Order: sequence, then structure tokens, then C-alpha cells
Amino acid sequence: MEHGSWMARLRSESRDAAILLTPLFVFLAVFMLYPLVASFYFTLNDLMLSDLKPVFIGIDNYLELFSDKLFLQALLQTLAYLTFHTAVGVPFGLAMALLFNQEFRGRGFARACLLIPWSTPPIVAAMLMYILLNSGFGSVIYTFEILGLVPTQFTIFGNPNLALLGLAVVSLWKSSPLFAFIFLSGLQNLPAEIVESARVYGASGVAIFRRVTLPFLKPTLAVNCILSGILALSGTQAFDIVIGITNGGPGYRTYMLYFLAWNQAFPWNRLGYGSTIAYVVTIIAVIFALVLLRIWYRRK
Amino acid sequence: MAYRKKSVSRQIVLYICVLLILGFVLSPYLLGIVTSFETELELVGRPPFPFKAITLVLDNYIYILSYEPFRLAFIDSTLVAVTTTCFVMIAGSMGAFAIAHLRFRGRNFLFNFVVVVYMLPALAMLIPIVVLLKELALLDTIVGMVFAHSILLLPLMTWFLIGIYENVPADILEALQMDGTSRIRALFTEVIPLSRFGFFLILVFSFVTSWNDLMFANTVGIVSVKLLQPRILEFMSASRALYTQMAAGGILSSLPVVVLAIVLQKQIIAGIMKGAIK
Repeated sequence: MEHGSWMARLRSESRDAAILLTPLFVFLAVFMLYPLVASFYFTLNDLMLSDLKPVFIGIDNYLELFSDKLFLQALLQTLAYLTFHTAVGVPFGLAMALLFNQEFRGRGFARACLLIPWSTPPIVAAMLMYILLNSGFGSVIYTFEILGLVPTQFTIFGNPNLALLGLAVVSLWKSSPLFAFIFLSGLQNLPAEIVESARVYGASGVAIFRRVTLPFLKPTLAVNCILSGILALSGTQAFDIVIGITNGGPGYRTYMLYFLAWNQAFPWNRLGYGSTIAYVVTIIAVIFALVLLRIWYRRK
Repeated sequence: MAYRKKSVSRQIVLYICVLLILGFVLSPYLLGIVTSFETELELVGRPPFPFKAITLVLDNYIYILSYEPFRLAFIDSTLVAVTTTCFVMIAGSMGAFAIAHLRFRGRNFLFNFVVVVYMLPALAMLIPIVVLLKELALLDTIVGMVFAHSILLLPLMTWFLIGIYENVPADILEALQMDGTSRIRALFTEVIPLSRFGFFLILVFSFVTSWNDLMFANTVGIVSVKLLQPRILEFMSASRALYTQMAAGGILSSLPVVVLAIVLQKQIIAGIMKGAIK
């Protein structure tokens, strides 16, 4: 009897599960399982959107990567962008979080302000920054000019050596408040008694940060670093901001892999090769995450 | 006494730092708003705004609001974001609830599949989706756009929702079952209201992501469906950029999401602080 009702329960559970999962499952199967398989198959083909007739070429797309100068340049630029985005953006986000975790008047308002960069459409962020950093009428550049930091008619996005850095600063505006929020949520769980007792024993602020706060935030730090990597490799930071401000220029100096992959696939109509580059981006993201986790676990 | 003095100077440093950060965070937006009320002539004449007085005019907003393609884009973007969000929240909630609380064959596989799809860069999904939509003659239609955005959002949002619904104690569901409430009913009458913070956060997140998306919108919509963000891009890459009108357009197109974020800041911050998103 006991056993029978248990069986009946399990059966009704499976039935309910089936009903609940149908929409998600249909959608996943039709619109996701297919793309998952197809996008890999595309990397082995030459395919144009105009006729949609795949021509099987084996691993030629992968071999082409090694002789494609633009790909190699975009790869290096992507790595530079990724490094800056993580090495500067994440510590900056941490600093913001530590600051906004202090008690001060208007803290709620200040925290709410951090939501603005996160919610602003990336292309609008690109536009606002472009106006701000314009060589002719950008207020920021003008301020630098009167401070004597830069010559007149100084251009960031037209300068081959500075354009990529300029884009990285723009994406910093978009990402670092998000990192700060994630750090803030990590800081909520920091046991106040430990910090308090460390202070009572005379530990300095720096020591408390190094010995208590930072080790405590390690998991959050890992999450933020991986998120930063994903955003810089294949987020709006690697597409919207690039296409909006420099469109890859000057020359090819701000091409990044993700942007290159989209350009190959759509404007240049090479879906197979574009998919291949998109897979390279995936591989870099996975390697980046694994390396970070490894460093993190070893230190532990 | 010494302690007190130290704490006052500490307080001053704290406020200066906060102001610097807020300056960094807010200045692009505030100066963008100013630009959107300037005349083209005043904008290009040096020195720029904070260094000279300017007259504010409404011309740019009048121009952009009477510009038919922009109005249409605004309506289309609203339609797509609202439809996508509704679909994602319903399908995602049902699936996430089942994965979080029911035992069935293939549960782990489904969970892992959702995670793997989420890890793939959106572009790797976009290329086959465009091919599929073209074959279904849905490329460049609103329906196709909603499909594309749902694909972009569903795995990520389902993943978040699984984490949120897992926090609902199993005992409550057990008790409801005893009372004869079906599980599907329980999801809508108990589980979602119980997890409203997280649910709300994911709802806002879905809407913002769909509204802000450029890559999918710019690829799936070609001629007949141009959403708002591609329109802004069009403005930016026009040969003779009309900066002040462009700024007005940008401010308008970011208005719904920024206002949403500010109005719902308490819920969003509470949701993030409770660790809804990890």
C-alpha cells in the first residue's frame, strides 16, 4: 500500500514535470539544440546567407585562422582588452564596493546611481562616451586640454595607439558598477564580529582588508573575474561599444575576435568562417575560466 | 579627542571619494542630457558646455519624436521586449520550478544543457538562428525577433530562476500537495509570490536585456523591423552625424530602462543582495 502510493506520487510528479517542462523543452530542442549542433557543423562548411547552400570543406576554416593576419591581430587586441577589463575593472569595482559599504548619508541614493550604467543600453553608453571624449566638443578632452595634459584637437578614437584603450575605458564605465554590486552582495555576508574583534586587537584597516576581507571575498572575486572575461570576450563590451564608436578602426586597430566573427558572418557573408571564430572565442573563454579557477584552488 | 578628529577627516575623505565615483558614473549621462537640449551650433562651438553658458531648447526632441522611423522603432522595441519577457518568465518559471523541485528522468541532463547553452557566446547561437529564421521566412519579422530574443534570454533566466525557486522550502510544497493543490497551481499561487524579489529581478533583467540588445536586433531585423538600438547605431554611423538629435534619441531610448531601474532600485538591490544573481 505504502509502496503503491509512493509509485503513484512519483508518476504524478513525472506527469506534472512533463507539463511544466514542455514550453522550455520544445524551445530548447527546436531553437537551441539545433543551433548548437548546426553552429559546429557550419564551422566545417563554406556557407553564404544569400543562398544557404553549405559546401563541405572539412577543417579548412580552422586552418585559415593561422594564415589570417586580421584574425591574429584581433586575437592580440582581444587579449589586451580582456586583460585591461579584468585587471583594472575588477579591482576598481572592488574599491567602489568597499567605499559604498561604508556608512554615510545618501548611501542608498549612491548605490542606486550605480544601476544607471548597468541599465543604459550599451550603444547609448557608447554614444554618450563618444560625445564626452570627442576631440572637438568633448568636455572631458577639453578639460584635459586646459589642464595642459593633451594638445589641442587631441583625438582618442582616431589615434591608432589609443583607440583600444579608449574603448576599454568606455566598457569600464559599463561593467565596473556591476562588479561593485556583486562585491557588495558578497560583503553582506562578511561576519561583522570578526572584523570588529580584529579591530579591537589593534589590526590596521589595511591588515583587516588583506587578512579578513579579501580572503572572505575570494569566491566573489573569482565570479567577477570570470564574468569580466565573458563580458570582454563576448559581451556587449566586445560588440556594441566597438561598432558604435570605432567600427574596428582606425585601420583595424580596434578589431576584436567577437566583432570580427560577426563581420565575417554577416556583412562579409561567410557564415562558416564567422562560426569558426565564434568557437575560438568560446575556447578562450573556457581556458580563461579554467585558469582562474585553477589559480584560485591552488592558493586555497 | 584625537579619535574624533581622525574620524572627521576620514569622513571628509570618504565623501570626496564617493563624489568622485558618482561623478564618473553619472557625468556621461548628465552631460548627454545637456547635449540633447543644446543646439548643434552651440555644441560644436568651443569651449564645450560646462565652460560656457548655453540656452536649452526642445528642438532635438521635437525633431526625433516627429521622425517616423524612430517612433516606429520605439513601438517595435516595446512590443518585442514585453512579449519576450512574458514568454521567458512563463516558460522559464515552469521549467525552472520543475528542475528545482520535481524528480524526473533527464533532470540533470536538462540542467547541464541549460548551463552549456548559457556558456556559449550569443554569436555562436545567432548564426544558426539567422539561418533557421531565414528558412522559416521569419527573418526581418517581429515574430522572428521575439524568437531570437527568447533564445538569447531563456537559458540564462531559467538558470537564475532555478536558483531562486530552490530557496522555496520543500515542506511548503509538500503541505500544499496534502491540501490537494496541484503543483502547477502551486507554482503560480505560492512559489512565485514567495520568491517575488528574485522573480521581479529576473523580470527586469529580461526586459532590460531585450530592450538593450543590439547584435541580435541588428542582424535579425534588416529592413522592415528596425528596433531602437539599431536606429541609434544608424544615427551614429551616418556620414553627417547630427549629434544633438542623436543625443536626444539616445536619452529617449535609454529612458524606459533607466527609469525602470531607478523606480525599482529597492527591489533590484534587495534581489542582488539576497544573492539572486551569483
